[in-house]
Amino acid sequence: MFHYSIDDRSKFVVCLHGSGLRLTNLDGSKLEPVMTVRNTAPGLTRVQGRIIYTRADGTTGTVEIPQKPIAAGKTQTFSLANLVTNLPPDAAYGGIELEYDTPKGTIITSVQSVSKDGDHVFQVPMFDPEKMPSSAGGFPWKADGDFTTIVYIKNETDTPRRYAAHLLRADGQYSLGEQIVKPNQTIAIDFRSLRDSQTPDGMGRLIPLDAETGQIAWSVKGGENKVLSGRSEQISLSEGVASTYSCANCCPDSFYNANIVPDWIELDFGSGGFMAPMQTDITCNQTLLGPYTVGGANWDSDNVNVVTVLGGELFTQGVGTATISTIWETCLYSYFDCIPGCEETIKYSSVAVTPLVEINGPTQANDGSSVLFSAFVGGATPTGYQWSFTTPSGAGNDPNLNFGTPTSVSTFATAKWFALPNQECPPDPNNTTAYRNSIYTVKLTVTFSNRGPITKEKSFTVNVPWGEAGKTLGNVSPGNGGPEIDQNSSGIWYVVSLGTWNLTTNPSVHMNIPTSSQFHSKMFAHEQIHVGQWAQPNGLLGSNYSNAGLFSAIQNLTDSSKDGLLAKISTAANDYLNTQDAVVRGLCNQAEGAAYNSSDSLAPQYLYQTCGRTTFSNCP
Amino acid sequence: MNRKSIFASVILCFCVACVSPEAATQQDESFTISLPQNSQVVEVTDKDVPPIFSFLLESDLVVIATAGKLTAIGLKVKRVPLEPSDRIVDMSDWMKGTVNSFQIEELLFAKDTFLSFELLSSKTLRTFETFRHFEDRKYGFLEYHRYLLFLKEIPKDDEIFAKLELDSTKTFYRAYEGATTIFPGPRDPIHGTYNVGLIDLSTGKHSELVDTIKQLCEALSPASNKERIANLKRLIRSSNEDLRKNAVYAIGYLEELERVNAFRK
Repeated sequence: MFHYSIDDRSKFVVCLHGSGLRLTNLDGSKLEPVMTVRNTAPGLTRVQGRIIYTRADGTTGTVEIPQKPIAAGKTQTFSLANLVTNLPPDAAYGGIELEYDTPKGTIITSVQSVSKDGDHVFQVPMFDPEKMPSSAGGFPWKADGDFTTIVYIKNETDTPRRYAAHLLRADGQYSLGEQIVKPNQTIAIDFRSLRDSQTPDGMGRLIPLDAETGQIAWSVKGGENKVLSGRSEQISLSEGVASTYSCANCCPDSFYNANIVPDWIELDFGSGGFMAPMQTDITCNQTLLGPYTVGGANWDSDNVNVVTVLGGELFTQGVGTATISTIWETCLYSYFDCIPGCEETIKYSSVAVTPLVEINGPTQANDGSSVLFSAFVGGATPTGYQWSFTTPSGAGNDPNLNFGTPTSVSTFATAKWFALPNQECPPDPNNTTAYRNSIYTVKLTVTFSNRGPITKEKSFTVNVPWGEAGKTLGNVSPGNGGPEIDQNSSGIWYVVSLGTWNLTTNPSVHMNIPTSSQFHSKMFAHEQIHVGQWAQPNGLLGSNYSNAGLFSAIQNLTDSSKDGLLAKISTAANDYLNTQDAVVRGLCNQAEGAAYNSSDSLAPQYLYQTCGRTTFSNCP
Repeated sequence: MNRKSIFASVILCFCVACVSPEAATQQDESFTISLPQNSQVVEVTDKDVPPIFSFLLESDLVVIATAGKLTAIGLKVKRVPLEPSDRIVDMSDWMKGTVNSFQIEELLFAKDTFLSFELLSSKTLRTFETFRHFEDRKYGFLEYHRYLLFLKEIPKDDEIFAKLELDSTKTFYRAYEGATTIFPGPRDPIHGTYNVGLIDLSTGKHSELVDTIKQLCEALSPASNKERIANLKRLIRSSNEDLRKNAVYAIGYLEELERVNAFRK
């Protein structure tokens, strides 16, 4: 039996802590914290405390729980709703700390967060931080259906602490790496959210979208045990489940091995890079955790004239080599008594900074275009340049870029389309895009007096974009003026002759393909065949339009008025031209075939060829 | 703990904007569908609209019709010779264009009934007239020839009504010229493709294309969108690849159209 006087209660004793006090439900609605206290002491006890909430940005805030007197042997329930009403909207969870002024163990508490409709209740287990087990543990992770597993890690001290958390699955690990938890802060970790958002960890690993189960492991870092508490909470709205789980390991995790990634890197002068220390730990149950990225390491470069380093980021300063060293604290816990031994671990990696060599120039150009490629070299003085190109195996049509000054810092080149595959017609006549694009690899080799040459490459596409290379119009017209008409003695107007009308063709060639293209002369020759076809009187097309034919269409027209006759002449002339147009359209395939037959033999014998056709899509 | 959750899943594949109720117009790689009764417009983006369905959407009418008499059209005010003694006239002012009258044999598609969910057969158009500029010799009509035509209405504010001897109270059409072609086969790499929506049925050529167009139009002719989609689903089983492609695209289009219609209500 305890014996004490009221005067002994000079100060409160911190006795009960709880982590993961939910302040909002999964849907964001407010929850009401409720605290039930039973006083088993023989006298009055007073309970007070605080809620330390965490905002979305990781900062914390504190709300004091006013002193509550509880008579001996009594059990009382207090709503803390009024304390959290005015919290920031993004304060979703936190921790709770209670103190009482009767001897330890005389107070039994239960804390819950309850939804307003009473349907949802989230239990917060309370424990004595002085009797806390080791600050490391593991929990099952369940994320199937609408199950969510939240891990709460609470800093039980007034000093910032470090921790690492991992998700272990049969086919791989995901590590949050080393993180900092602020004084008294509660951290909530939701691996399901990280899975759904496909957030990579420090090693670039993802939690597969179909991952639903696994094991969570966490541990304090920094060689001081029993400063963090952790538990997990599994929630399923559809199943009506909100359960809490806590399992502490025998000791915090121990250092197993470490390295720097990458352990060697080559950088162009003027560029930058990143390095990261990687650490693998081992639990007291001999489970390997990691590797994961380590925070707070110190970096150094042994040659700051070549490269400097800040927090793992590399900044090139000159051409040469340097060794990067990284130092950080690692701890081992003895297996028998869990006593930590910490020391500095140092790891090295190498950096080579090479002269920067870049190719400046276009990535694509049309066939026949003149383009300029130029070299940019930084960090060293070059002694020579050599421009060259390569093409895929099997390319036809004599690929060439015709570099104007292939050993100069810059050079003009002529874009020449090549055939791949080396055949005169596109492999797929309905999709010629790939065939029309020739992809060269432009190469630049730069030589130096004090080091080996550097070769850089650039992809360069030469395109033949002209789906319609050209066309020839007949331009059939009777010209200005009109027929000669007269009025007979009966007053009837009639046609005398064609007058000034002279039905001619005046073929015109419209080339879309520019003269610089290797295909221009071939296609121009093709159009010239059409020009000949429009010639009168014997051309395949032009022969269908004649003054005799036109006169025949109008010669017998008469009308009692001059205007009436002109209207009839106009209609008859149009009718004649329409009829002959139709005849000419009927000859379109024949005309095209003849033109291709002539131009097919002209170089380059690619792309603009007959390709076995007897009908052509420009012919209706 | 028990709770019912209702998840409202709304997938918006189109955007609604208030613009003037235009007919479907192709804008690069997207279509604008509008409903004639109000100002809601749906944009459906698609890079591969099958040519026939594209021609349908861009046309006001699709018909099989026989060309009648051709009439030449001149300037409203002609510079005819003033002197009675002049015997040689300048005909250029008399020959600015041609009008052809047509007798409809079969109305295959009408955009207004299509977009307003009316029966195609409710449209009683029997004849129409086309206008073509004299210089436009890409196509022409021969009297008494039968044509399958994709027609575009010439707007009343077109300048031809002010300049030429055309009755501005009448509606004239022109053959629709597409961005691509409805005719099958690979493009001619030298001369492109023939892109006029006109098939001279008297040549006997392109019978499969004509059949494809007619089947597609027939599937779209009911008033009910549900019935149209059911018809198109039957066409998907066709061995005609062009028909299948057009039907598949048309189903997607009609589903969007139905959503817009539901939204409007």
